[in-house]
Amino acid sequence: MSTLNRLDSIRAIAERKVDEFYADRINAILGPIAPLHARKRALATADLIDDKVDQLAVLTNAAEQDKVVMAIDASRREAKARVRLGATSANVMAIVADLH
Amino acid sequence: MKMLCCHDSVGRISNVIFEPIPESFVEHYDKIGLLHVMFDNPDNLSALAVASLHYVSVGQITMRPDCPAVVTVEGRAINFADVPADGTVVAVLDKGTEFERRESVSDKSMELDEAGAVHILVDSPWPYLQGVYDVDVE
Repeated sequence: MSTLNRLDSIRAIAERKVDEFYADRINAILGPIAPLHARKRALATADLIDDKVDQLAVLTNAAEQDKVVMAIDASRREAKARVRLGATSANVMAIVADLH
Repeated sequence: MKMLCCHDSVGRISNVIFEPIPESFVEHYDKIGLLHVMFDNPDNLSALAVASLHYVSVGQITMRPDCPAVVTVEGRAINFADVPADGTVVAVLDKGTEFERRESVSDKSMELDEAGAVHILVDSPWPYLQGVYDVDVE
């Protein structure tokens, strides 16, 4: 007789859904020109921006964005930990439902 | 309304044409070797109903037989009996939700770790209809 593990299979789906949910939030924070911001950050970090006021603004904005992204990532990891600890498939489904 | 049913060598109906059926169609089908049979369709079934629920056996439109599989539940075990050789069994969990998933079942019995509803699909060789079973394990 084979065994179908409802909890394990739902947990795998739930972990993916948690990642997708938080990835959307992180992408929204980074915005549509994230590569440009990343490039400016790299230049500012390497002290390659002539305008020092602009350089400071770039680094300040980058640091603020990092804080927000790290906070979202902390929530993501906390949600995934709860998914991994869920004792029943109903528990796991409820964790995903609570994300929205 | 009468219909002309085109079919393959195992009786699978590929398309139907309602009356009036041009004689040239029949001649053309004969010419290219496309098998066909006339069906009186006394119950005025739709083309889809005829093609999906029937087949051609010995030159006659015939109901496809029901899936012979028997699905029973004992506690958290689901038992599958009389699944035809070459038949396949799929268990669908959390059907209709964002967590829906399909698991192939190869054994005659399957046990679940949790109680809940399970949607079972049994596909048997032609011409059997697909077997659909909704069970609850406790």
